[in-house]
Amino acid sequence: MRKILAIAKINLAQYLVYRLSFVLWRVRVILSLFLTFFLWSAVYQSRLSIFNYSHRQIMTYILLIYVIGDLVYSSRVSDLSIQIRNGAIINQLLKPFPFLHNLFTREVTDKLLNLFFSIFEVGLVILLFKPALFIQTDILTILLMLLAIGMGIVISFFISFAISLVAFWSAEVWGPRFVFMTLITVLSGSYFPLDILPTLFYRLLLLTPFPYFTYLPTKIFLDGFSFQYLGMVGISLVWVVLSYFFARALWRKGIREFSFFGR
Amino acid sequence: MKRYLKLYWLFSVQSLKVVWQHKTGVLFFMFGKLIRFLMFLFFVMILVKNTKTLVGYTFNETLVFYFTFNVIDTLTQMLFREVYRFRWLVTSGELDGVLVRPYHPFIRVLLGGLDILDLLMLGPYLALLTYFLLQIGLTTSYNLSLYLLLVVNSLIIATAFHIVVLALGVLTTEVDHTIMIYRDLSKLAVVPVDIYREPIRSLVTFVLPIGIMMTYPVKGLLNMLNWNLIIVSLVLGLASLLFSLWLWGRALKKYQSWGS
Repeated sequence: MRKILAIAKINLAQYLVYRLSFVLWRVRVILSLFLTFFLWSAVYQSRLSIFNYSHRQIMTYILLIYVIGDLVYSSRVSDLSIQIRNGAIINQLLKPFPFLHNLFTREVTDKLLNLFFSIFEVGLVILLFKPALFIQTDILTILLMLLAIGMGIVISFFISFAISLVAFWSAEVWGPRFVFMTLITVLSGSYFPLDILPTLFYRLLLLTPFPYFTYLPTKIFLDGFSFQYLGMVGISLVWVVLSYFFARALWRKGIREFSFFGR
Repeated sequence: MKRYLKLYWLFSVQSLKVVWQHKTGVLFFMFGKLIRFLMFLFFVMILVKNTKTLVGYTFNETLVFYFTFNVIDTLTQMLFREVYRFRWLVTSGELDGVLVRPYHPFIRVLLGGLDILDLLMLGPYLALLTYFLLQIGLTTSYNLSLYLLLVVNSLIIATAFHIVVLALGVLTTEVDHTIMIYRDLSKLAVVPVDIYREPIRSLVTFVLPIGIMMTYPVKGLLNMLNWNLIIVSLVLGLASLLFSLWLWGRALKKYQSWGS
């Protein structure tokens, strides 16, 4: 535990060294919130409801998915591909602390820091623009939402981890990562609730991992506990298992074949 | 001028050769860009189809805004891609090698990396823009001339933004986040800036000024700008260019070379 805390402190210290970078990163993130927030506000200027969502529901959706997205997607695992390419991973592997524990600790620190800032930013938006919001009070619903968020974090981590591991075999990791990030942006419900899509497309989308990152937890919060959502959490569990075994197989194969000169 | 065109051609060919080294990456990149473009287009279409209008603009008008944004955004990325790699030039000391060469440094650090991938994306964007321009039926020569004039003004402002990023890169070595903040800011105008409430609307129109860049050309086309606003936007375009050149000059005076 002391080692974990020490790594977390080092991680925080690194952020404090690159303060400007972190602040600029947060500025970038909040700009994306502005677009969706005001676009949806404009849509509701002349109507009370659209796509079966009231103004209050959609504003809650946009702000909540922003916070959940920050928690699910903030990650340092993309650095891993650089460490593999430049050989720096060797230093990590030789340290008397399991590499994956180190990675996990860095992830948790990163997520907590980003979560803190995103809650602060959303609070600021609520304070400035005073949108009408929906508050969920059912404990069972909140528990199911937290479970879905946990699943989303794990799936996102394993897929992102697997993409970084491509660096064991190819220098072109940025291509798959760019596609993954693009798909996340458009298919996980950041711009709009996915159930406004045509039914067939929506159903096909539910077979992919994307709706389970942020859309499902947000939707559970809005609609409340139901067995339909419990079933969807079940599908996300399948994705957790699949992505875990896939990432583990890649890691084992990659680390066995990995060699580096010059460090 | 002929010499500069030849240099530009050589840098562009070089850039194409570099891109061609990463064929798989290129495929992923194109696929990602296409998906992003199509999904946001789909979102805007489904939204405006259901609401009939977006802040008073019809379906076709909203799409003209969207494609105008894409054309301006893609053109600037295509022309100024080298700016994204500028930080390395500064921190490695390689910028010294550029500054001592007998040509203007902008031909290398600003225009020296023509992005062929954006060039490929530009074709479909232009075709779709033309289609929806015809759909709104306001293509008189006056409207079109004003539209083109304001698009040129947008490109001047975009050029100024990129020169400012270069200048800040020389002064602080911070390029990556600055250029991405510019990108994220400009994305706020993917739809008409009228969606924003005051004072944010005035801020994004006149201070930043992405509204003038992305929204004003289409407003000009739709006869929604009076001459005062047109003159203000042209003056702002010129002023931003002059400011960026002044800042670049100041940055070079303070430049002390790194690394080499």
